[in-house]
Amino acid sequence: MKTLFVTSLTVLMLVFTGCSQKSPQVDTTQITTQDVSSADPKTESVSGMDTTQIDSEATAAEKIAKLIAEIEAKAKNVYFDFDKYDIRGDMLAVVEANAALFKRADAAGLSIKIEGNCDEWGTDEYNYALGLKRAKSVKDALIAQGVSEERIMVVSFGESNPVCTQSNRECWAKNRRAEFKLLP
Amino acid sequence: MKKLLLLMVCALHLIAADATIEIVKRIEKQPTVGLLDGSGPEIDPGIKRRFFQMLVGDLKVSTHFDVIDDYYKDEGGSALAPFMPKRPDLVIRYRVENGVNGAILARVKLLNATSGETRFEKSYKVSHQNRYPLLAHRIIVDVNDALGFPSIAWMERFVIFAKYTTPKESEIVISDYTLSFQQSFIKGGLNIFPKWADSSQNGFYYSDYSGRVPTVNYVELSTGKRTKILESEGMIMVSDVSSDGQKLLVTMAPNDHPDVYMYTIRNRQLERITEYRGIDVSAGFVDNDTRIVFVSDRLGYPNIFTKTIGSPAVTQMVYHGRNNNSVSAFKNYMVYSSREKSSEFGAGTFNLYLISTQTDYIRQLTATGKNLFPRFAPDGESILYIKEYGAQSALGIIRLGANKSFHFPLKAGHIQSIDW
Repeated sequence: MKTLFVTSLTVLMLVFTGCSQKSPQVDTTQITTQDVSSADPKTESVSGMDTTQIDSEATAAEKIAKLIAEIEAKAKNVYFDFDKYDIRGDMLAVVEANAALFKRADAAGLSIKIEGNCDEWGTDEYNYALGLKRAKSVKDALIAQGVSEERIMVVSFGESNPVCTQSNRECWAKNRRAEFKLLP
Repeated sequence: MKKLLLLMVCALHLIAADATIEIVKRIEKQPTVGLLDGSGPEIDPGIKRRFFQMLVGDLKVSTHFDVIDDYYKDEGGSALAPFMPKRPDLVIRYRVENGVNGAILARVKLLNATSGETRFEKSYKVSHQNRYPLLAHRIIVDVNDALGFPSIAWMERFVIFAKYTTPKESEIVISDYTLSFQQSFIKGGLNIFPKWADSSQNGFYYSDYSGRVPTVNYVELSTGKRTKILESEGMIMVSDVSSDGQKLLVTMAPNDHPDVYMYTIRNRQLERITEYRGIDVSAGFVDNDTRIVFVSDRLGYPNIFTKTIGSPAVTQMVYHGRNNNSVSAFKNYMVYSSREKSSEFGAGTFNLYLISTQTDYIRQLTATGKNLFPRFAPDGESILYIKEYGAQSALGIIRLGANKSFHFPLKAGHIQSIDW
């Protein structure tokens, strides 16, 4: 849940004035999120609900969640060289294996979100673009392996999502990667 | 023997040349200023110390003064006496007082130390103690103006920055230029690349990466109202705003290729400015908003290019460095960050360079460390940038006229991007 903290413009522009001036001092105001009301009493009073239907839907959702967890656990990250977004030779087998996973009949209804990531080097503006190109390279490779383009979306997280935070060569290499998330 | 004699003559000449430079420096000596604190015992000693340090810091960063940075208590006698045997040209006498409801007041007098003549006198008030840095900046800006020095009004502008807190989490913070006063505006989720919407700092744009599709929002400071401006699959960010605040340069990737677009606020028209299957990013307006400079990898590595808006031709601007991945423009000048080594495993030097858009002038601004994300001050006289060392990051300021730089470390988090 996102919270937007806002102070007024006047706080920033007029936080202080010469004593001779009589402009009002406007202090911090906050926009609070809308109050979340407690459970709707009507819901509680509803009786005779079809619990069989609910159980069935819950089971289906659980099955999908389990499938997603299984495929995400099996899908391997694709790693990249420093400052590069072309797929390395040693990563082609990883892409092939991932494509086979995504093409499984039981996964056909799932969307694939490819997240491009970068190491800490360079300016983040460029890194977001670099991360996107990495995700795009993997997307193209998956399409070439027969995964439907309509199922794939790409996004970049630049250097905001490191899996390793130490400042050394091994760590940077782990962070230059494309990850896979599956969506129902 | 003759060669040896010639060498000695040359050496003496060089020493003499240095001496000449030193003489010139002394002729152009800046006024020496000292501070006298007349605050009473009711003022918290911590506030006294921090306020004094902030005044001293501002005077130094102005680069218009030689500052006596020893603390002296004002006992009410001669303005010169406490400093003896030092002889400042000017003395700032000030007294901090407690106001009502947590406010603090400062009464300030600028004196000619020798004659005792009052050059300037004013009282100030700030609503909360934690805003003392803003009070100090205002005082030094006024003192500077009273003496007729070039404006340092930029000290009063607010810096807006995003800082990473945890993976995929960041905050957008508004601060003074020293990071001493900070106020978080947006927390929760991944909110990055804040950019002031105009020179009056009435609102800002930022990218929200928390939802399914990255989105650029506008936030009006006075009301906190958030308005969705644009969205794009993959990535989106506002990299520059035109001088009239009506046009945005945006990097977005509706086709998975990061390109530069121009968005006109008035009619909500989106125009594609660059078209390249690699990376085009970080565009800034130059030459009266008729051209852009931007970063592109069209040579196989990030470098700086320029193009006239509406024309397909692209011109390379920089011919050195292996990774020039950030640029900021001001009128006919631009500053960019350049990695000096081709390997990521070296000393990690990213330096800042200043060049003219006609490429007839270049000046190296930093020499060591990782210096990134340069941004010109609105008056073009200073450059704000991110300096990284180890796991920490800091705001750096380069005063171009004085060729001096200053650093202000961020205590927690890692600075993602800045604007002022």
